[in-house]
Amino acid sequence: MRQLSDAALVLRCIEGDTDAYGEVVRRYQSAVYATAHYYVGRYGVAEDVSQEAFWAGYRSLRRLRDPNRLGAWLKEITTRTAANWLRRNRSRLMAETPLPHRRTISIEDARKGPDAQLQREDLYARLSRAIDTLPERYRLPVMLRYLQELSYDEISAFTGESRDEIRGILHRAGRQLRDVLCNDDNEEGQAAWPHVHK
Amino acid sequence: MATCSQVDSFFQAHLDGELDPSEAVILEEHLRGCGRCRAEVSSLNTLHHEFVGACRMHRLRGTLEADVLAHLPDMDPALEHGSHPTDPGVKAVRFSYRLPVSLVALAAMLLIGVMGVALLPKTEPAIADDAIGMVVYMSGAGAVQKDPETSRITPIELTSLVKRRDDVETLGDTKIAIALAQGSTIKIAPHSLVTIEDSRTVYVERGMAYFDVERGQRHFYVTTPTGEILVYGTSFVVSVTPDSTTVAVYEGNILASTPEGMTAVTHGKHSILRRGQLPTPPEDTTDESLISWCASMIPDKEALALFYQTIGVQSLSTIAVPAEAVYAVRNLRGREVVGIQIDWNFDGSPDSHCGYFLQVTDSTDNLLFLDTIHGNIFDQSEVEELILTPKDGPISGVDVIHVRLIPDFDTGSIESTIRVKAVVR
Repeated sequence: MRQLSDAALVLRCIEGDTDAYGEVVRRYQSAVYATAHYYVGRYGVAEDVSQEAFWAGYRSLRRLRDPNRLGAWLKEITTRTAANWLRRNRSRLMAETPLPHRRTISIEDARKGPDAQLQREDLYARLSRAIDTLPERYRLPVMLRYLQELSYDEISAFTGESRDEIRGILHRAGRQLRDVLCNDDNEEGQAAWPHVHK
Repeated sequence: MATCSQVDSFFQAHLDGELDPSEAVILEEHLRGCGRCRAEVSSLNTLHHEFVGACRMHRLRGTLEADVLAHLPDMDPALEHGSHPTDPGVKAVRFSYRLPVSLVALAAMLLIGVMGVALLPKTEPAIADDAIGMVVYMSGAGAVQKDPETSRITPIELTSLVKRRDDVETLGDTKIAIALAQGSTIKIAPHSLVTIEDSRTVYVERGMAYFDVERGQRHFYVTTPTGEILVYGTSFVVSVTPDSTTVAVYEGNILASTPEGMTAVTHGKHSILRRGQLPTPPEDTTDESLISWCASMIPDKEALALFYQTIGVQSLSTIAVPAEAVYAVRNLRGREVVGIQIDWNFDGSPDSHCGYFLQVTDSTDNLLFLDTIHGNIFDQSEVEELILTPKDGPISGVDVIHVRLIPDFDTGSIESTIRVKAVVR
């Protein structure tokens, strides 16, 4: 069967078709998870926040005025859910001592040895810091692109920006990220991604 | 050959696999002759792969669907009827509003139940809880149904039950009619294969089927290998071949679409949906064979009575009220329309709701913009003014704005009047 539109899925959900909400979850779980991870991922609770966001979305589905903007609406709900989680856990997070690296090594990385694991964790930490230096509007599209490898159309549907805007944002963000990381490397004396001057 | 500055904006989209084919050709040609841009792309490519690799271990593993659905909460009941959560009085008023409807429904169920018992065959067949339809007409003996879970194929006979996702196939010269919960009927021609996804969704793989969809019922979808048809209450025929779908409308109107676009098809017209193409513009239907095959298919009275007694009663909670229509024709003097503004004027009844179905067309009835919202979403607590913006930017050639109001599904009433105007540049 051909894929139903967001609006058709919303109407079915409101009519009590929970299978339709399963399709909503499948369609947007990557984007919702990446958004949750952007806000709380470092604390390893992105999946919990994603589930909470989907439940909150289902509870208030009848409030959705424009079913064609389901993705952008879920983004707002995820953001609010993540913000609430951070507020609830503020005291615990402030008392937490950050670990330099994850305590577990995934099987994939274990095969490549601990060095590869540490390099990736190090790069991920630096990339996270570099993303934080980007303009606010660029950050979420970058996370959606690199964390979950969403297509421009999927990012557009979730953020509410047009496809052309997303393309421009990712173009500019890619250059800025390289500049930030190159500066880091130059300070450490190891330029990994040389900039080609024209 | 394009210059370096012209192709510079292509690099990231190239790495992301998002370049248009024409842009990819331009970039490829440029890179063949420009070493500096090749080095730049290579540098960005290294960065890109490092980023993706670093993020991989933080990615979502598996799916959230099972966990989310396992603990799905109820939809907020306060929002279900559009009442304001801080207004406890609304609920009581609403109850008195709905009570007569419930009583009428109950009385009708009892009446039909009594009629059904009088007409019942002596031995009452067992009714599956998940049945959504029943075969109420059959000529010939060559029809089978396939259970999607067990893959078991069983012959169809009069009063056979149909469950969700059942495949139904008519062989030889066999024709059957299926009455569905919520009041719609499907008549299936010989040599057809149809999947009854649920009581509002039917997939026609091949052959021909006539649909009589209960007016006032919620949306009904017919999908085929080459298109999709969205219905609000009407009768029409769908004829499916491997390459195309022909949809001919005999009453009301439908919306026919392919992935490339959509068109509204009205009474007496037909459209053809082909892969990779826009639906053909609606034309007059002159082919009588599209409808003549089902003219003699009158449902069996006893089968129909059994259907109403066992399955059809589910539809009595749906109130069929014809929707009103407003047509607004504007002389825009060629200006582009950037949005459609709807000003609402709710009638003040407690907990008023209203939905709409809006079509914007040019002077030759080509669809330029379409939007719809369900009859129990938009309520008086929302803003009084709504501006709909076409997703693909301003539209030109606007001649007719057609708005049909969708009644509140609970009361069956149109509870608002509206004013519509085009917002121009």
